[in-house]
Amino acid sequence: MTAEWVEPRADEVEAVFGSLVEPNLKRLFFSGLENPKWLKPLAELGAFTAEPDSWTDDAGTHRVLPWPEGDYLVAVAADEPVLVTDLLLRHSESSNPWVQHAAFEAALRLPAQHATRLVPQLVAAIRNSPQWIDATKVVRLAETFGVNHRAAATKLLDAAFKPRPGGYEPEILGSRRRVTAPFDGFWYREATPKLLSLLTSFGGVGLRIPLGWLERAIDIPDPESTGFSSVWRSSIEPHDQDGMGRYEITDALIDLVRELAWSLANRGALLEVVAQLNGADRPLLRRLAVATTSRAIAAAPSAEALAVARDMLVDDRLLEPDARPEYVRLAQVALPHLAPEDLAVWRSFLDRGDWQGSEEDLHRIAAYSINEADNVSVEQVEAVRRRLRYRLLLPMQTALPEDLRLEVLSLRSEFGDIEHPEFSRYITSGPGISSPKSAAEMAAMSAGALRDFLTGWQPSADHRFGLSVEGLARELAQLAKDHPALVAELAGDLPNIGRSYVRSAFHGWRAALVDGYLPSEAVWEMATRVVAEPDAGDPVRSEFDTDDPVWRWAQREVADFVAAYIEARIHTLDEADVWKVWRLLEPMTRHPDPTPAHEDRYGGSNMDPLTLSLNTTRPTAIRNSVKLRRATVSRGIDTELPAEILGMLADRLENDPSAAVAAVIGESLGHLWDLDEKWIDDHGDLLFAVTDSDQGQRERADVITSVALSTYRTGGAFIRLMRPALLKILEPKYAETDHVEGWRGAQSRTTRLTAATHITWAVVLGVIEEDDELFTSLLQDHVPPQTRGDALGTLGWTFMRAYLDDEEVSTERLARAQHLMGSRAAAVEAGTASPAELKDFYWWVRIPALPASWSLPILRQAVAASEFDPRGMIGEPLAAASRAEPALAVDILRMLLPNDSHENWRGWDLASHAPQIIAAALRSGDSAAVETARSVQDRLGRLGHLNLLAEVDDLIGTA
Amino acid sequence: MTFAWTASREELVALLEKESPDLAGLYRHAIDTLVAYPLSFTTVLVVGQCIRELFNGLPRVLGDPVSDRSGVDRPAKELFDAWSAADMSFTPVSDTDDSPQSIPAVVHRAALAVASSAAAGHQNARELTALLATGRVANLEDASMRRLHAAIEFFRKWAHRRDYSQPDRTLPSIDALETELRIVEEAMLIRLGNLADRARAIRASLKAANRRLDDST
Repeated sequence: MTAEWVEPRADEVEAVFGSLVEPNLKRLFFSGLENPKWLKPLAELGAFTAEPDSWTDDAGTHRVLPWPEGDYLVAVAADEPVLVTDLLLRHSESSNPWVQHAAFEAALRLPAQHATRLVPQLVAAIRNSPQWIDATKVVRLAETFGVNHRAAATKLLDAAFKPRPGGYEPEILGSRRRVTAPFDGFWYREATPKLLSLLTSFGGVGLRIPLGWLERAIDIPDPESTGFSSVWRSSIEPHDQDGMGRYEITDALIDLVRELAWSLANRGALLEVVAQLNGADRPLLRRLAVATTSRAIAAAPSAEALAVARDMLVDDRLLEPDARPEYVRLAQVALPHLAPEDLAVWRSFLDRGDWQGSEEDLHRIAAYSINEADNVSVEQVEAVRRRLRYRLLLPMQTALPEDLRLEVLSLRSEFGDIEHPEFSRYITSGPGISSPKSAAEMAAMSAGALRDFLTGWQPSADHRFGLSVEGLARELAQLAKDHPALVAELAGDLPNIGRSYVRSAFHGWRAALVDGYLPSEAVWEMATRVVAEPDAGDPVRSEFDTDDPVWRWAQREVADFVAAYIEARIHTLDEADVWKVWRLLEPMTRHPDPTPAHEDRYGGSNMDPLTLSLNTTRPTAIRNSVKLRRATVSRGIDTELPAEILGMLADRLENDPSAAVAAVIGESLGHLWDLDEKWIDDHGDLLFAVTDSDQGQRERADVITSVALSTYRTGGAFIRLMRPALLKILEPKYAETDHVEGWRGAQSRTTRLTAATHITWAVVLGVIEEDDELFTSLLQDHVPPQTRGDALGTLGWTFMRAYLDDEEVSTERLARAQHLMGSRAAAVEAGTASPAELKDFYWWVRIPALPASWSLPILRQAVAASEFDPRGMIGEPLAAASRAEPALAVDILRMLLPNDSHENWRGWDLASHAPQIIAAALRSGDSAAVETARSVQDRLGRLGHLNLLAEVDDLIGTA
Repeated sequence: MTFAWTASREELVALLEKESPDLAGLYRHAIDTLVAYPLSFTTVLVVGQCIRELFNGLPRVLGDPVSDRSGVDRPAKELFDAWSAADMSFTPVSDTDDSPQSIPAVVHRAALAVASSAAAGHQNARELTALLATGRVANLEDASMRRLHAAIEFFRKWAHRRDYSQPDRTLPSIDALETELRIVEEAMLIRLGNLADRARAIRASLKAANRRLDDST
């Protein structure tokens, strides 16, 4: 048994409490105090009377300080329930979330009769600061109230779970009003299932509570004032269709009501449950009643449940399309158990057909499907009737009497299969990409049957989200990959059947090339025919169930197909091959796609030129032409083709305004230089015209150079190639105009920064020396020091990354890098360079091969600069370095400490490593280090990091 | 129980010495007095004066934004003048006479001015306490701050040979004096010393507070 707490002496309490004038010490004390016998004397001293100050910060945000006293009240709530409750009640008007949170946590520990006294202020807490309260704890608290304090529990739950109208959010059509609650959708969904047990214990009254919430949600109208509710549910029972997460609150409520209704029905209260659900005369609640009845019958087909079902089955309101899943389920479980006379009543209801709508409705449906409103025949209306009857009976056929089952079979032969007949709307996970046949099914067909199928199949008009051309095209691509010869037998016909199928065939054949597929002559002829097709029409496709509106997508697949062919045949390519490929590519190097309008629309802020070049036809063809040239030259094929391709490139360079084409040229620059330096020299004026006064010329050169700089690694040849461009980029004139980036990449680096990175790397690699014109240009005043800082940071990052990846690092290169960095730090120290050059030095500190005695002095220089941000990078290396350089490390830590507790301390990284750094300094025996460490400890304490101080004490053994 | 120089008192002297040798001297003298002499009115008077002067001087030495203390001397003189001009009696009334007294409006206004100045003075004193403890005028309603203020006021009152509000005051016990002294000492250590040490002291206090009857410690 645990021994009694020691009663404190009055003077002990007074002395300790009087010394808690420092807020952080107060927090330390109250978060650790456990002895409930301190409560009374502390209360007598007024310890729990005042709340912490609040204030409004410069940004206008209302801020409040924590209430550490509340932690203690929570800790002793179970031992001193009366006094704790009384003390908390004094704060019933508090708007401080810390105080409200303490009241809530204490209530969870108080006996129910005391906790209920706090309910009004807990309700206020939930309304004012739900983000401070765990929704599942609200449920737990209500459970502790239980049946004996049902009113209190209900008040609490109402506050937490009653839905409210939220803001508007856009929909595909119009907008809708969100249904919200104090807790967000995720927590609402987490917490509501936990209410089941409590609400079941309340009996029928328990059902009224969530039913009231659900009705409230239903009554929140949509913003268009159409009178429709914002609540929609495809199936009451759990179903994939309801996993979309759009109606989190109402879905959670429907699930809760469904499970609660069943829980009560299962305890013998089916009639009461159904009466409650039907009482409000709301379609959604009627569906819940049907679902509950279905469960009851499935569990035990009692006479009572079947009587309920009998009435429901002839209620034509339940045959509305939205209620169909529940109706079908009820029929499935109830029909086999109905007495013959009840079944006859249902048959009569079914045959009467009132549920199908009026004659006028049926006429309208028939007219819609044939698009001719005035010429609907009686037979067509009858066909609609049969189809609606079929749709109803199909999903319940296993439960039907024999004659109706036969009728369903007969109707199937007339109307075919219907997917998900019980749903009025059915959304597949990938909208509109279902195929009527799989690749495997098509593989089993003969070429003729496949041709007939592709020619004859049309997407069903009444299935907006069902089978589609695109779905079939994707399966056809798979078929072309797995059985290329089978699809090749259709090569002569596919262009007539559909552009989408042509596209998918080349896509599949491209993949098959990797596996050794050798395309037949028919395939090449088909490619030639496709390439020659004019690319006219609107390229915007609104639906997946239509064919590609233009040829360009199929043509691009042809361009990629031939590139894959070159790659697959790289060791056997002959002159005939290369000319065959070129004849296909050449026309596409003048393809209209992308048009200037297309580039304006898609190549602006949302897609850079290099990315656009991958998704457009002409750049793809030019890129693959360069590949063809390389392959031709590397195979040593003696032909005029390489010169012809260079001619094409020169023409594009001079005449094509497309940025996407320029990106392809930039991407190819290194390869072109490898094979023909003279071509680069001859066209250097255009290629590198980054300071040209002509905007169009300059922008194309911007794209070419920026893509080249982003694509290639630094090396001797590349620096020679790019030297003219690099020098221009570092000229003052370059900064006077705006520039276009050809490739934004992941880091969105500017061209000038990429240039600076290449130059610094060139120094490290020994490609150039520090007195080279490139490097001295980089150091000129007009180049922002941040650019040099970024480049030096990238250098440090590269070495750090190499060590992290266990790559072999050249000691000579590291020494050159160290010298370069050291000389820049010396320049900063001497005042001849800006401290901004050291802004990213944190990467260097993480290079394990560099001694702390070298890196820490530079880091201290960097930290002294106001713009240094360690970005969570230096805590760990600084802690490691503190073993060798404790004084320097702790001094850097001191410099990085914020000035007050409202300032962010540059990340958790530094704070979490501070104890090691301080402990190393305290243990060092170096009086300066010890003094700095002590001052850092003091500041840490005043900033509220008392846990870190305890860690230091643990580390140095003075705890 | 007797007073003694403890390690934390030695530390406090050293900390005060860094700020002001005069103030350190006042504190040292107070403790020396308590250590050397038995508890008496004189002893407490000397200690009270030392601590009062120490607290009056410390915020200024630390550069805290001290506002001018509101005095009651001038309004009291004006009340005397108004009282005299109204030809009202200076004879003390009986302590048992609680009946309402009628006074001229001008005297009432002068009396109100005295009371307002006294209230402002009280507020200034509490602000001074907060300044001393934290360097800021904040958390005046905090209960710990109020307790510290009470401890400081305890010494202020004992700085005078007679307290007119408590004509029959009795000598505090050694324990009571020690408690008040510890509170003001701890406040000064928090302000002047290293917070890591104070956190360690709080953790020690917590360990003691959370003990149970069978704890051997």
